[in-house]
Amino acid sequence: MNVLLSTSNSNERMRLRDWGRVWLIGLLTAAIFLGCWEIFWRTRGFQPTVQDDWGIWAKVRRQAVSQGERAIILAGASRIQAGLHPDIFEEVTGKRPLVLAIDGSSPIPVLENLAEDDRIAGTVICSLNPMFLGEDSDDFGRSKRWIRRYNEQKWSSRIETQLSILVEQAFVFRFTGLQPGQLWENLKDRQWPRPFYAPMRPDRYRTMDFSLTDAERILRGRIERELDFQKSAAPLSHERFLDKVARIDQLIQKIENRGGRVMFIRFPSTGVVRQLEDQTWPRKKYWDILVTNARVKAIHFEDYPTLSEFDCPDGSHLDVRDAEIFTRSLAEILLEKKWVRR
Amino acid sequence: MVFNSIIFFVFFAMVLFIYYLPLPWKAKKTHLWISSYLFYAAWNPPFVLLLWISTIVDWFVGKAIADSKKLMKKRALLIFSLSVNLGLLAYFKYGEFLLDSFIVALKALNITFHPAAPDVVLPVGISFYTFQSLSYTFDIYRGKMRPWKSFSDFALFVTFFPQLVAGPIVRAADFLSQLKSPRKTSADQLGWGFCLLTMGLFQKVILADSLMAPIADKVYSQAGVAGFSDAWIGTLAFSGQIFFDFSGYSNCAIGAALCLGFVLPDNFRFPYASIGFTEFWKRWHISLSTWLRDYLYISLGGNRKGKARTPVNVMITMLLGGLWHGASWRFILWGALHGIYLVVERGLRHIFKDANFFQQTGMRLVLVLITYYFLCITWVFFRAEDFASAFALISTMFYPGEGNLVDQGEIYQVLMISFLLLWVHWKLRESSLEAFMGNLPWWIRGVAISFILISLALAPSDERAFIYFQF
Repeated sequence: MNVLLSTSNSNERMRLRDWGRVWLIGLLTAAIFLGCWEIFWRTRGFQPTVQDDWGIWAKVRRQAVSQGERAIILAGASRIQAGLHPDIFEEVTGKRPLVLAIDGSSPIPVLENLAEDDRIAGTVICSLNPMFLGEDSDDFGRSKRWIRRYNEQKWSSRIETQLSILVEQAFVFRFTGLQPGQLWENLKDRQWPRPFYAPMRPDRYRTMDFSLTDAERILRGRIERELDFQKSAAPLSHERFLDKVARIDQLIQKIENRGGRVMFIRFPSTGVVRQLEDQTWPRKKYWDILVTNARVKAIHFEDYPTLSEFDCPDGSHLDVRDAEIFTRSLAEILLEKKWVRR
Repeated sequence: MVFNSIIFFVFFAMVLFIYYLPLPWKAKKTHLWISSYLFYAAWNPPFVLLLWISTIVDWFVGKAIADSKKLMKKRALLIFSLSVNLGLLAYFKYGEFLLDSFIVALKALNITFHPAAPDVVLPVGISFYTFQSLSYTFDIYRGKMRPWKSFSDFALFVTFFPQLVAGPIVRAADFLSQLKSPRKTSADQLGWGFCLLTMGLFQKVILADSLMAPIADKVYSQAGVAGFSDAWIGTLAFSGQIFFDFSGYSNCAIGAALCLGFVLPDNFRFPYASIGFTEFWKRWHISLSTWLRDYLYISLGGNRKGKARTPVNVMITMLLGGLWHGASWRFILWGALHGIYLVVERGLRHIFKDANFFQQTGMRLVLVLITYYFLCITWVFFRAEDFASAFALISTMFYPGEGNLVDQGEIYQVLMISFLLLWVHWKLRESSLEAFMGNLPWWIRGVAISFILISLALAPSDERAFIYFQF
């Protein structure tokens, strides 16, 4: 290399030698370490999980367009993301649902996004936690941000998402809970990492297996979160609530006018979490008014014995085993009501 | 397509595979040319048009300047090239800023003006490739080079993907001369190229994004409630973040180019060990500072127009240098402060030119720390979200008191990394990364590479873009 740049000392670089064996030892050591690291965590019960992000959401969102009238779209937060098992739903109805639910986030922006898109003509099953009817609740979570990014997504980002899914499905060590920062936190708390109880599949369904976790600790954390949510989502005045319901009604009509369907499902919650929800968001004052005023097809778990027989280990989500039974019952109800056709 | 993405690695592997097939040199160059457009189109395909505009205009203007006998015509052609390139920059980068400033100015005159909000997307790398392309026209105008004969070579110079979106800003003569004959890459070049690429990724993914950025973000997003320690730790964290981020990108670019057999200019030479700001600008973003020196400062007359005019030229250069970084008055103030430091330093150097004690190691170290101190204060304007936040943080930095945004662990983390950063820069300030690596036994280099690879494999996914992409 005989190039001499006016502003560079790059020509000095070729003093370096031995790069063949440098890279050989570098790659070999890294491969051996990472291989052992992978085996170590797998033998302790860890399984690969896909990390949820806007790219994967956008991928499913595009499927909602391409499937047209056949699409079954799930909107909501983590309750439907972990509570409606796509495999079981498909087994009963013959249709595989697309999970557009975003955990910890309001479904209303997603519903708005679907309503604004003329290409969406399928069936939208929306799980609505009462708190998402509160003041400023549309800003909760990541819905708005992800929708904005979906609209701006470029082809290279789509490929990046596909490649990330492949890598995350292949290696346990890509799980965020096993990354150095998190391991350091565990070390400080003198806790050994436990297998993740809510891994996500590439279709964005989460299996929540509470047997893998300290259910009591999770429950305590959930109650604290619930209390925080309630503080940040102050109930709306009656007038403002009716305005919001009217807006939801408009969105539903938009989708239904082009042949689609929208239905709301109230997923189970139990114990202290349910008490807190009932205190702040009594059914009669909110859910019932929403169902009547928004002219929406709706199912409240309390109204169906087959949907209300479950105990949520963290008060808010179904265990994976219950999710299978719940999904089967819900799918049969939907078929019976002819809200979903085979 | 950013370097710290899986798609880049797939793309780069494919580029290398095709590049090293036994093809004629012309075919290899065409392959690099097409790959570079593909790389750029990954952000926003229509913006490839802007690349074409810069390329075509400067190609034809360069030829016309060389063919022209009259100075007036040469000058008119140069102005045309400047208008097109800087016009693109002005529209895409500064349009909104100029409009906002115009509205504020009218408001000061009690005139209310409500134009439609412009919705202009900034094409990534526009500040870099327009400057790069312009350097070709300037050099032909000044008679430093003849127009290049091959259009496809020139197009590859403007679009070469390793440095297309965030530099280093390469000079036409330096790059085009490398296209004359096939680049022969030895195994050692390839090994060092990959080493630079992985080191750059380590700087970006681990040091900048994982260790420094979260702390800087935490402080700068709550500047109003930051205490003394918060303000300093947040600023030190940003000072480290921006160096690791940008120098990491430059290393990736230089490394990727070297894997293809091309040599790019260095962009950083241990800048935080600078003694004074004149030296800082010889070590920080070197390809931009030399560009500004050669094409702006010297065009203004440099230091050849008398003692009174020199500071004015320095200030103009630094103000425009600040504006180059972003369409905001904060960047202009940042540039202005650097200009003032340079002017003051020039005066001080004149006063103390005979003082020998500045040559003592201890004194030089003190001067490095003083320079770093002022650099950090000035970074506040660069990073803060608005002037109110910047002034709130700066005022906090001068009044010791308690902070509660950053915890003990974060304080140790930032102080330790900042100390190591300064120490490495101080130790290597008279040397180079290449010389340092060359002195290490091969097996230590191997272990270091395995450590970097393991860190990258275990690092959290983060979508944080390179800071300099926004410029």
